[in-house]
Amino acid sequence: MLMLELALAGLGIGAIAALAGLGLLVTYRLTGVFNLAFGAIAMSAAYLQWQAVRVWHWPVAVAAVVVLLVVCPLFGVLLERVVFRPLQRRAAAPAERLVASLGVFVVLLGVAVLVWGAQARLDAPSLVPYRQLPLPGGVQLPLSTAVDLAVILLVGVALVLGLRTRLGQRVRAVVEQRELAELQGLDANRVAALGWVIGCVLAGVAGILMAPTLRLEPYGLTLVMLETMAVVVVARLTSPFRAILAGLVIGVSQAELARVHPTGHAGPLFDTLTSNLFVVALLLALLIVHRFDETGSTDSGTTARLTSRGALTPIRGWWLVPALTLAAPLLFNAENRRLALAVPALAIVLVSIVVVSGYSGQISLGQAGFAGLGALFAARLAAGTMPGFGHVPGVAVLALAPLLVVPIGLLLGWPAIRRRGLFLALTTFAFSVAVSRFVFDQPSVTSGLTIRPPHAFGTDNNFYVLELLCLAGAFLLVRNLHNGRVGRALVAVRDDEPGALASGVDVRRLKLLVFAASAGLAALGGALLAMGSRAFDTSAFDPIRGLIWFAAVVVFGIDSAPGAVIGAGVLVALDAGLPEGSSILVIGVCAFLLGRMPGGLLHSVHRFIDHSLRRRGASVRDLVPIAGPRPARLTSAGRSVALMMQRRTAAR
Amino acid sequence: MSASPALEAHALCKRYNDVVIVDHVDFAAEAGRITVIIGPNGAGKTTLFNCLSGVETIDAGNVRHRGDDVTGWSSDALSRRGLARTFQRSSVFPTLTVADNLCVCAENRTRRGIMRGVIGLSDPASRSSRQTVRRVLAELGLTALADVPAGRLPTGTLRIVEVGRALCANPDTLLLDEPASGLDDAETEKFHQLLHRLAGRDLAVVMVEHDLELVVDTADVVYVMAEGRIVVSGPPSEVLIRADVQTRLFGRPT
Ligand SMILES: Nc1ncnc2c1ncn2[C@@H]1O[C@H](COP(=O)(O)OP(=O)(O)O)[C@@H](O)[C@H]1O
Ligand SMILES: [Mg+2]
Repeated sequence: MLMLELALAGLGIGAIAALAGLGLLVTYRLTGVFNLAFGAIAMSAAYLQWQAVRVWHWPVAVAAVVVLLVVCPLFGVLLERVVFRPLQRRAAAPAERLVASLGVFVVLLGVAVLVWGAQARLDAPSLVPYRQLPLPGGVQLPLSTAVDLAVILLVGVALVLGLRTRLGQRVRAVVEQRELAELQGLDANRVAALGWVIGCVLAGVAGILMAPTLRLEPYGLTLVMLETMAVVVVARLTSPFRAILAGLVIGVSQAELARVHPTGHAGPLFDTLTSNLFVVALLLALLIVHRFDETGSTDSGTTARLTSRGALTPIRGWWLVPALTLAAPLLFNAENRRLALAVPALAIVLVSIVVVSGYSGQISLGQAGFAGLGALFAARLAAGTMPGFGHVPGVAVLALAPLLVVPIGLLLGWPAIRRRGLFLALTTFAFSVAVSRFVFDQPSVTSGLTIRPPHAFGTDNNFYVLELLCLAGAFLLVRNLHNGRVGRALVAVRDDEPGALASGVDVRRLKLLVFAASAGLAALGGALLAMGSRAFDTSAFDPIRGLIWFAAVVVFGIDSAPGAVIGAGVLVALDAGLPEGSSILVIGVCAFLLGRMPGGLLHSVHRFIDHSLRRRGASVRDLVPIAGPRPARLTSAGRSVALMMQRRTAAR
Repeated sequence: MSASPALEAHALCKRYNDVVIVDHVDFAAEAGRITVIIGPNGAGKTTLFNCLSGVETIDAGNVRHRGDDVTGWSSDALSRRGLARTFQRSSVFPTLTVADNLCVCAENRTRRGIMRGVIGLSDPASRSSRQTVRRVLAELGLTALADVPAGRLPTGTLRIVEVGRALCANPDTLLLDEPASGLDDAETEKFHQLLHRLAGRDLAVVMVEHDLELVVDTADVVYVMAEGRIVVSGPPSEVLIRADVQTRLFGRPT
């Protein structure tokens, strides 16, 4: 009896996950964009519902209708018009669209934190009153579960029927071959808008249904919603039916396994695994599935299109900007300098993203995981509680902790060899979620950990200098990775992987190298970040934080290490001077506008200066012989072959 | 002359989703010869190149390079071994300059020295790679463009850059996939001379080419491919005038 009731409870959660996944899937199939923002959209809808019901005292049903049938669809249309249509029009690379959706995500998150605060609320309004429906056999079915199931059934049937119709068939044609569909007189923009509307509404429904079972909290709720993308990955971005099935199966298994509590060593681990079954499923699915059935071009590409293509003449002395950013805190008063301690540390973390995503073009959304592990290892090494190590003194911790994280980077680099673009992005993100859930959230691992700067660098001033030394070391490594043979080979891999392979570049080894270096750098930055704040705070290394960092790096120039320093300065300053959430909002808005500033913020400024102050030297056109199209010669070729043969023999 | 051909394939098969694209192809390219593969679009020429150069895995059959079995070798390992290629769709690195494009290939002729670069030591072979790059740039007439980012060049020039990049591997076997498409007449003529110079240096040049004039002018051996199979092969003077070949290529005999 209990088993059945647990299964029913699991079905409820599973149905919500399936709904969120379906939204993601439909948007992807109709627009070709993997909408990373869907978690944030769900979270925002839940907050709006809360606002309407708890603050404005609207009836629940009215609020739900307004949020789901007015606000969400409007938002979907807005997204299509303002953000994604311009990208579509200039045939933006899939990586660019992924980053744009990340921008939407960051904006929504920033708005939520700014408006509603980061603290958790427990009174998310439930759509249906709490009531048990008696089923035959004495089983009780909660009304909310019944509603969840009814909704998923409805949506599922609607989808299946929708795809069967002639319109559905033609809509699918749009996704496969946009130009072709436009020839058939089908308005691709309308189809894309439809995709965004359906995606936003389903995300909203999932968010409003999910919130009452959890706490209402910007980061937490968003992350839980993001975890449901396991369902889509299992469905390989294709089959809605499989997505629904996966959601329900994972939900039920999670509920059933929650009953089992094995004793002994494996007990806590098992409990963690079962209570995070969506994360486990996501990770497993990403490791087993090699490739998605992606729409459009088969290669979802790298970040090459986000970089500052084609160098500009450098402005003399521009490195003074990052240098001054770093030097300024030495003159600050004590309180501000304490805040500024985060700048070099964060800069190192951001530089680690520049290395892996900017130089070699692999989208990595998992740097928060490496940074957090670095902080964790540093804290335990310093406390002498790292298994296998004794008490490690002072500065040695900062060398050892990153070294311990490097093998983990190699481990993640392994799947990266065969994965690119979207798939790699999701794999790295899943890694960071897994680390957060299975390591940072474990009380036995992280509770009661303290961390402080090494003894010799105890004062803020000294510690800041130590941080600058570490940053200088990081820059040396980065320079070696960017210049010379290694740098050229990395750019080659980023620009054209088959071409790099054909040129003899050992891409496999290079990718491992870059992931290892990047993991080590992130770990160093994370350790310094924790030391500076004198606490190991797991929320500082939340996977969502990793997404924001990535967006920040893209905004400040994905292949610019000095840009990362300036970015770190700006982020820390905004956080210190403005209400919580503002820095996130600023990054999000800039990421939004990336379509208009290719190469990032700084590069755009640079180009502007370049254009207004300088005159170009000889243009490329002067150097290249004009190559006109060659007249086709194949038409009469058959006849001329014999003639040519004669000519050739005569010539010899 | 060595006994075994520079590049040799035996009973090569490749399927995509159960559709046979390359069907029991036997193929050999001799050093010092220009071997040309012709055939209608979709015949599987590019796929054959991909199988020979390690870009795609092979379903059956084997590939030999200078007599050694290299079946299943990866593309980069083959390149370092001296089997270089270009792509039908240009694969130059747009954000690198022309010289750097060539340099990538020249300095990755060996894997040694990568870790030295990471810790900041100079590459011992960098002098010789720079020399190679300079020589190839001069040979192809690209010296004036050395410092231009490749992304700004027109397609015809990119083709030449890509050939140059392949030459920087110091190859003994060169696979060129439609290298002359996008070249104007003058460039084609120069390209034609280059091919003969290369063959004169004992390179095995293998080329997919649609331009029959160029084929007739340059080829020593022609393979005609259709629907995944080699229909006929031999000297162009024998192959190209056959009625069945012309049917394959142009639809009807002339
Ligand atoms: N990656 C692939 N997956 C499935 N089919 C492919 C793939 N690559 C090529 N093909 C198919 O193989 C056939 C031969 O292509 P290709 O080798 O490019 O021909 P060619 O170079 O002779 O014009 C074509 O019908 C093409 O559709
Ligand atoms: Mg081809």
